[in-house]
Amino acid sequence: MKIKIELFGAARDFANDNILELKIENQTNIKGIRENLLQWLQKKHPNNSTYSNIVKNSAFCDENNEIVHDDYLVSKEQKLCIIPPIGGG
Amino acid sequence: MFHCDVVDVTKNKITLEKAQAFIESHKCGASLFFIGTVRDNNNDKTVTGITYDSHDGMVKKSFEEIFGEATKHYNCSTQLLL
Repeated sequence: MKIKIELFGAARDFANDNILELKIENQTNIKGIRENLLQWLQKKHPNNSTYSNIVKNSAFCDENNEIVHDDYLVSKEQKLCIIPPIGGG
Repeated sequence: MFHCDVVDVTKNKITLEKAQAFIESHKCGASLFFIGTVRDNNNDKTVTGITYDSHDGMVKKSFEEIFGEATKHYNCSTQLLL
């Protein structure tokens, strides 16, 4: 199934568009999405620890604008958003 | 050199006067504002620019939740300007 990840903040640098698409074999959870995203990044931006740290430390939210945690089940095609940690200014 | 670009001119800037006029209430009294200026330094490094980004849907939802909780807690009719 296809999972779209909308990119926010520092994660916007992952791709030219503000959205990327992951192809997932079976149902998974946010933890699995995080791992898939890390693999995607390794192909697109090899060994970029800045990007991988963003993925490891970001929150995700679903289409209902709810924060979803690592155990949240992803069993159908949907769009998720990655929300990196907030910086001060 | 420190610089700033406004990248979305379609959004109206909220002035303090407009905000005050919107929220002022004789039932509540206090008005509280958070304003500031972007610093030109951060952790001993020079700041050359800053970007803001938001997930508008989540921001609106969170603010509405906070607003609802505050209204309920303080039993006060207030207004929320986003």
